[in-house]
Amino acid sequence: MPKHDHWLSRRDYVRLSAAGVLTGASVPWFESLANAAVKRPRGKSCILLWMDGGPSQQHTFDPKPTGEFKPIKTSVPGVHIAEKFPKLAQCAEHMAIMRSMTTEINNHYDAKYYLHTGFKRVTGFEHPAVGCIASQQVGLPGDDMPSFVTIDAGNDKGNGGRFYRSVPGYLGPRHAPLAVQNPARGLENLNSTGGDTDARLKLLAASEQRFAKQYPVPAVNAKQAAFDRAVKLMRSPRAKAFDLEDEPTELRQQYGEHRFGQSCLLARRLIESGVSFVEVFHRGWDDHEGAAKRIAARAPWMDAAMATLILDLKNRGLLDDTLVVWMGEFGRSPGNGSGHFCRAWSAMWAGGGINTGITVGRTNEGGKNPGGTIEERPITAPDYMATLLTALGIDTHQEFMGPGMRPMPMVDKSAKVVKEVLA
Amino acid sequence: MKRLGWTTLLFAAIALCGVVESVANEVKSRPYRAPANADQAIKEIEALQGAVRRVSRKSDALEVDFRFTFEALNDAHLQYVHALENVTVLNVRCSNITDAGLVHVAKMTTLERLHLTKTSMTDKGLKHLANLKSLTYLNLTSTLVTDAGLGALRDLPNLKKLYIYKTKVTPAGIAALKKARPDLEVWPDPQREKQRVAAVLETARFALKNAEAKLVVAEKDFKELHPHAKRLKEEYEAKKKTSDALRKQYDAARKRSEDAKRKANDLKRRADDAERKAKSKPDDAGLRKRSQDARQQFEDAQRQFEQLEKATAQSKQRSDAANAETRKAQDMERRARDSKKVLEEARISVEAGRIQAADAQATAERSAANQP
Repeated sequence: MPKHDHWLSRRDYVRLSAAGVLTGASVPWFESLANAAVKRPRGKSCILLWMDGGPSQQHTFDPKPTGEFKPIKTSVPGVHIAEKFPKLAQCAEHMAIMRSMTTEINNHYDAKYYLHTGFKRVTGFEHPAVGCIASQQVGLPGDDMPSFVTIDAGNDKGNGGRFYRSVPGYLGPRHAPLAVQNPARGLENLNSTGGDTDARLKLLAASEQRFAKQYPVPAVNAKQAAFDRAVKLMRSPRAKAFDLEDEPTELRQQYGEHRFGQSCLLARRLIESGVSFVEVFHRGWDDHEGAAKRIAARAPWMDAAMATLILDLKNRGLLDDTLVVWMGEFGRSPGNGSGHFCRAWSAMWAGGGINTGITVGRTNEGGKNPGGTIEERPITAPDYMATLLTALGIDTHQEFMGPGMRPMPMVDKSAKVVKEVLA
Repeated sequence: MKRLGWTTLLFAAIALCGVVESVANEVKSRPYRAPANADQAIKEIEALQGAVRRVSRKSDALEVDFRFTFEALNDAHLQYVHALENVTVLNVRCSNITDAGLVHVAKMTTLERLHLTKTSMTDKGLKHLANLKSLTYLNLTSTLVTDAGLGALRDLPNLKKLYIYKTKVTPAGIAALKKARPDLEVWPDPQREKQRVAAVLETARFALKNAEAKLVVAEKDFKELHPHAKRLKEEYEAKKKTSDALRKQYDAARKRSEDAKRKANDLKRRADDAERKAKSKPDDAGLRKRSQDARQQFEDAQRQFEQLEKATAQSKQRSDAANAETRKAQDMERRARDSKKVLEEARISVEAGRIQAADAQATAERSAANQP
């Protein structure tokens, strides 16, 4: 491999990549501290509840008097949500509902990319997903537990097209998520099969060592580092966080037997055990045949799971330090919710030390098409991403080293943080 | 030279796997050794699987996190925290800390947030917290505290949030504490929980009632309209044909009427002209005749226009009536056509609503049963 004078030496590159900050206005955190042994802030943890396919806002958090689901009072005077969510209505004092999301992209995959990264999809490279950014910025460094975990909460009718998988992009493979398939079954392959693991690992280590000597390239190191982290997790007592059998039956029932409820319970356990970002995704919200029937059927388990999650976190004193986010890649047409609608839709946040008991932004109540236009405080995808990362305690003015040694901003430069949400 | 760096790193990483287990055994019996300085204290804390962190980017306040030390942490180890400055957060969740350990916590006067979840502390230990003037948040979840211990917390001037989930604290104890300190948020709060359960039940019932009302309409439509869907469609189409034809007739009548009006206006102008001319030459018999003829023509045309206006108005009435009929028929036709789908939706909505109402009811009953 030819060496150029202006390229970083490999040692410097590795050191600076580990810090994740190579250019930008803010100085790398460890250089500004008197005591380098003190670790960086762990920020807030995040549980992202991703409703894949585009959940209808008028059937959930922005109901209209003329709509198919009537607005009901919540525990916050003046705030109403759809009648099918009585438990969540009583959690409104812990929630901030954003009703003025406006995100330009109406096709599934590009919209999922936009709302996961804060950037529009381009050819040539991938931007890092929000979970990967959180892992790199506020994840516990060198920890037994992975910093970012995704949980598959199942499918419903209403297939939302190609699924977006969070990638770390230029942040490096160590910030890729660990995927849990079925929460009831825990983490696959956590326990090694067959006996004498130590001897087998020693044998493997010898051949890996020979290979690494011959091919000392980053990809080899990355793969072996990932393997080592897997072994560390297997041997850690904290890995029992993945086992739901530990939880009392009554609480498991409150979360609900549905896979989404069990996923929310697993998310709480993972947050308690040191995971920084958990993404629970449920697929099938693309209700082109009308949202009323489908969301009426989902409401019992969604209402129970989310309200139980918020209150369970609050009971344990964890809600202030954990941001719960509910959203999809866009909303649905006003009225019966049969089409995609990126022009005016809703996202809901809870906990995390943000301003709660509020709504941010507003869509029109009257006129021929209630909910068709935004009347107050439009929130674009970059605004949203900047607000979310800031709420987690991350400085969004930093830059990363992107492909081709090109500095990449963490959020788009047009982003304006939604101040009403942040305390 | 550089290659050596890589392989050393790799070998170290793989060798570490074998070392981890023996290190874990060592940690269980690691005694407290008074640290020479803050750095050494941090090293010892990390050897116990704890961590010292900045609380936020904007200040130099520190968090000492012992959440993952489990059995390795004992009361004496808390003294390491004394070697650090400006510790505002201490978390000893799930560790072996007892009331004796809280003696050391008492000296951490900068503490703002204290997590004692799932430790063995009791009411006795709470007394040691009386000195923590900056404490705003105290988490006693899953500990052995009872109402008796809460008195020690009354004089903490800055305490804002107290968590007592899964303790033996009773609603009476909470009420007494809140009376002395109305600004203190105690969670869970029995009053709030009672309110919550009642509100959820009320809302679930309201939603179920709405859904059931919609189901009644849907069932009626399905029974009465759906079997006649074909006929209703034919009726609608026939009515539409009729109303379209009547609409055309009305359009034609209106046009005729407008033409007649224009004609009448023209003739009026001509009659006025002729009259003026006749008046200017009173002796001219020809002019007078022409004026009379012109007036007569205008009056005929005016009469014709008025007749046509009447006919047009009647035509409009018929057309409007037919339109209203057509719209009604269209509505019926749509209801008949969609009735199966609407019925299915209504049934699903009611079924889900029943599940939610039953769940709310069961929760309310359980909650009432748990009241002393």
